[in-house]
Amino acid sequence: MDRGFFISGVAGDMTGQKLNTIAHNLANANTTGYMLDRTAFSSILANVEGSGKDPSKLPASYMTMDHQFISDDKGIIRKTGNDLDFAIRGNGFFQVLGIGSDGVEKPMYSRAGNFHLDAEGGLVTEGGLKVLDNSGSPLVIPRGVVSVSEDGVVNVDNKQVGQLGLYEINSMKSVHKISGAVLETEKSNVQPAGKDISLHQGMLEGSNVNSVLLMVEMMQNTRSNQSMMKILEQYNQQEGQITQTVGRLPG
Amino acid sequence: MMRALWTAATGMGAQTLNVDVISNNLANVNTAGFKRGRANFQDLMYQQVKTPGAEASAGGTQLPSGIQVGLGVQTSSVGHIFSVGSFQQTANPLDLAIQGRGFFEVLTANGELGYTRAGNFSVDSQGQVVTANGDVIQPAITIPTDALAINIGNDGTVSVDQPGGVATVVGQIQTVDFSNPGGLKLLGSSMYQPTNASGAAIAGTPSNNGFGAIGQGMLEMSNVNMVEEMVNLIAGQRAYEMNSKAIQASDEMLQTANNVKR
Repeated sequence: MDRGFFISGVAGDMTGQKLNTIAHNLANANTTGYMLDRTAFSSILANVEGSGKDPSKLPASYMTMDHQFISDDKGIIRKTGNDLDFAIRGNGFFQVLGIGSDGVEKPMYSRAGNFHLDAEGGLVTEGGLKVLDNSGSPLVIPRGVVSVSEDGVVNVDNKQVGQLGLYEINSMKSVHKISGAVLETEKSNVQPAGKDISLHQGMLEGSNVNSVLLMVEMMQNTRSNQSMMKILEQYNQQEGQITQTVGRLPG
Repeated sequence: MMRALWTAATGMGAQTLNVDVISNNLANVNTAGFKRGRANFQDLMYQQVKTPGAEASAGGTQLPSGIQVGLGVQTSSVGHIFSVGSFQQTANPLDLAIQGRGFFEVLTANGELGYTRAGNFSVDSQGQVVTANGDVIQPAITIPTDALAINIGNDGTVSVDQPGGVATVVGQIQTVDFSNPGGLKLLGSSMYQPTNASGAAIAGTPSNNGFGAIGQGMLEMSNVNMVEEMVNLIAGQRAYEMNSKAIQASDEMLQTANNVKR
């Protein structure tokens, strides 16, 4: 069987994988604070099969999912007028108390600022995770009129009750996504936010999904799937001809 | 089959609900005391394709980052936004608006306490102050039949002018507040009920201690912003269409695959 058979088959499957990611991004086009996923593909086995590591002699290579990016583009910020909606300008993240993959509570990071209060007045995210202040303890907001300054200082009826913790993530590569627009990363990968990051009350950042670009990507992906399948078809015909014609005695 | 089919279906489902909430807001644009709803969405769980830190080669190198494929979107809540609506002058003495925080406490037909900001009160056959549904305000206030005029102060004191120029105080309107009004359960008719999430009702006197003042002859209308809802409607509908395109794309890809073998 020709190797190209499998190569085009695998490539066709990868376009399917890519569509899965595109569909997930599109499904979250209206999710507050959602950050776009992007999968990078690469070739494997290229330098293994009989090439002697000489790129000019590469027979073929398979396509595979290599790694993932989480886009840190900014979403569109819109005004909501709700006191417990916050948008971050710049590369900052809120710190929330999530449950890590090892089952232990640990600080996690999110840009989704559509917060609520729980029955005790604790500030929680949409997913019910506690929002942490700048010292890393859960922020509690007493009853009253809440106003939050651009550096995250929370005032209730003009009395300071705490300060929201804002952080920066150094490398978006070693970040792990959790449901609810929450990111998990090592503590060494974050640092307190710099001066250029500001908080805006009564505003929300939508998802950073650029739907026009995604639609274009989706069309391109469909076409590349179709060409892969075309090649597969060619191989199929070729194999068919071989089995039908080779070894047949004329006459 | 492709995950994308189901992922996009969750997207379509979420946008349907989004449009449902928006149309309810638009339908209630002129409802006194109505608080607009907002559907909040969350990304669903992620499936691990490659785990970060997994061994990448025989030489012991590790993958610096993994691959996760998301499974779509879910509705996390439909929250009520308790911002104050616009006030409308009505000149009706029993139209009351709370200017700031607070709810009126009323006794509903099933004997439970309900909370509302809809201040379009009237007087029933026994002279009691009741809501548009006939629920009695708590504590009950009875307006004497010979009352010529009803005056309600900023602090909720209800007094009536009676023949002979006598002014009598007949009651006091109390308002209540919650630490988290967003956690209240909506019963319909702009009526709310406390839940574990909202906390218990905290009673207070209007214009005191953070409670809003009572404005007589005014009604708090809904806090729905027509233009904003219209824009949200457009965004919701377009997002729905995009997700349907993703379903179409996965369908086309499956069809192409099926056509390989004729």
